[in-house]
Amino acid sequence: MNTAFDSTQLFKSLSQGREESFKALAALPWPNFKDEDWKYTSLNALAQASCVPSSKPFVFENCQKFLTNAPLIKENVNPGGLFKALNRIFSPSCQMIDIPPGLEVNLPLKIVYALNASDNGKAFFPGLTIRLGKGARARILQIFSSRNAAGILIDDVNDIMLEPEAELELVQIFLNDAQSFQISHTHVHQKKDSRLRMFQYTDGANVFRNNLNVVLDAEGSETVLNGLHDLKDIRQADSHTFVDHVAPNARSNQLYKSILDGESRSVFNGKILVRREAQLTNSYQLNKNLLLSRDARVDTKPQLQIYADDVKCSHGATIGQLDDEQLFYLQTRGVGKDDARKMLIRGFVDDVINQVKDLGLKKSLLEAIS
Amino acid sequence: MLNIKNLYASVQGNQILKGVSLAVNAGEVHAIMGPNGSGKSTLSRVVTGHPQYTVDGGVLEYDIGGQMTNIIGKEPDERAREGIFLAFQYPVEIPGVPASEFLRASYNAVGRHHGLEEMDPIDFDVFVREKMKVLEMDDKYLDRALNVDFSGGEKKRNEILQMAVLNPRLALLDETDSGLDIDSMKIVAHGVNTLRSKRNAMIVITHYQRLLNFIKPDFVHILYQGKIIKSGGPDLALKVEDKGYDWLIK
Ligand SMILES: Nc1ncnc2c1ncn2[C@@H]1O[C@H](COP(=O)(O)OP(=O)(O)O)[C@@H](O)[C@H]1O
Ligand SMILES: [Mg+2]
Repeated sequence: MNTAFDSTQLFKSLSQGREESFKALAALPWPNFKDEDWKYTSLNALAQASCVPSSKPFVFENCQKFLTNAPLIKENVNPGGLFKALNRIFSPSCQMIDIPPGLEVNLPLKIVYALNASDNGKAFFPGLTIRLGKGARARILQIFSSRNAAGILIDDVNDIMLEPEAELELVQIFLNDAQSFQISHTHVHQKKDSRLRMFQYTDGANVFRNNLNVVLDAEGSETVLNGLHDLKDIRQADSHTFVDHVAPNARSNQLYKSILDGESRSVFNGKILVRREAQLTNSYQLNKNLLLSRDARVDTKPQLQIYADDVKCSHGATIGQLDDEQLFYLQTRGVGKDDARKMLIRGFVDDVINQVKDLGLKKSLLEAIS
Repeated sequence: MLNIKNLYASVQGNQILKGVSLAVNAGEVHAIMGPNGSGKSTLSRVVTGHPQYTVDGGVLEYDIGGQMTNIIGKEPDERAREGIFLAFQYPVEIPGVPASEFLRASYNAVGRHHGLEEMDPIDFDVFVREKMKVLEMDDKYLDRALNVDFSGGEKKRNEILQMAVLNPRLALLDETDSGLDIDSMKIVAHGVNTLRSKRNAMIVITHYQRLLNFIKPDFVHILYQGKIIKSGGPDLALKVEDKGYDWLIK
């Protein structure tokens, strides 16, 4: 036993966290379709996978000034579910970006998690914390790039704290191998008058699950959440968003779109909770799905729980196909059928892509997904 | 240029065209009139190759490279690249596709087919704005999504702009005048007239003879219940204007 380490605060906190996590784990059953949260996404393939725990850090660009040296101990796991507990157990610490109060960072910060074929069959549990101090402003691009890493599991936890008046635009891009698993958690805590604008892109995996939780904890906070599932073959993507309106006078707006080709599957579950104190909440949510194939499948489920009486909330979901009249129209102008289809698909995603306001971020997004 | 003989066509099991015959030569303008539901739009969709409509019999030929060629079964875009154009009665809204991008894609698709070099965005912009001036179109038009939130008049002008950009050999105008006030109609008609030449032909579908005061036809045909029941010169349109269709239907 390493007695020097044994006596450190770090060791104690790590072991304590680990113990708590194991305790929590014991109480968390393996999810199946009876579990409301996993109703439409089967974890059977993941249950059969054998993955060796491994670790790899995020790689940062343009962030050096804002990285804290000592890795942070992750906050307590509860509530968070099985995969958050696993993340905590296998990698108790996380890397952190800390933007000082009042600072405006113009260049987009880039955070990359890259895996390749040499990582086949491994499991990764990265953790990241981003904090924007009071009035700070930043644009961040976070990319998980594991195109050729088959049979891997990425179980990541991203904690984001926005202090009062902070403004963050965050683009997350998930580029997985078709034979990979990723369970991603992003938790955002927003304080007074803070603003988040977020875009999440995935083209799916064997199992891809995105848990995005935003707590609007103080008046005047605003969150804009957008995403695109761009799926084909037998890929799958599942986004669960949860916006928790705790304080009055906050706004949230969500637009999630999916394109489904082949035998792909998309799940969108958007929960909005407006607590009793959260008067004058404005909250909107829309999920639109474009089916390009008969064999693809969409499950979309909004969940509104509203306990305040003076609020404006709406939600909606659509599932459609390419429109024959639109195709015909484009074709009568000489545009070939394939190009016409592409044009219509691009038209379908145009509004959600345009939700990315920072031009640098938008350029990176378009490059990554082209 | 276009030879239609005894053409039968149906949509969703309903026989709509019941033996239409029509021959159109380069340089000619033909007007097709007829009451609502007689099959005018159907004819325009069959000529341009809408996939929902099936040809059940007859001849549909079009001049490709100097040869009258059967075009039944050809994709709409193949026909378009060979110079057939349809100005839609109800232009389709395409969200998320900017008009400028669409127009250039369209122009280049047709141009490529004829061995022309692609026009880059800057040259194309100059080229389009020239045409927009003739049609008195708003500058902002190019940035807007195709037909989305366009007024009825804007949509119709947009159709003629596309026609001007593509410069087709055979243009079918399906009720381009409906929903236009008289001033807009004059502008649109002027736009159409500038595109008239010896090498191309037009089929103008309309309800009202007033458009034909501005776009003078060489021939007028009356389509009724899927058949051309009468053909004549421009005076036939005046007679229809005066007396309606009843005397033709007997
Ligand atoms: N897509 C369609 N499905 C079913 N019926 C149609 C369709 N298009 C046209 N029709 C029918 O064909 C007939 C002719 O329509 P149309 O060609 O639009 O006439 P017009 O343009 O002369 O008013 C009408 O009875 C119409 O209801
Ligand atoms: Mg019609």
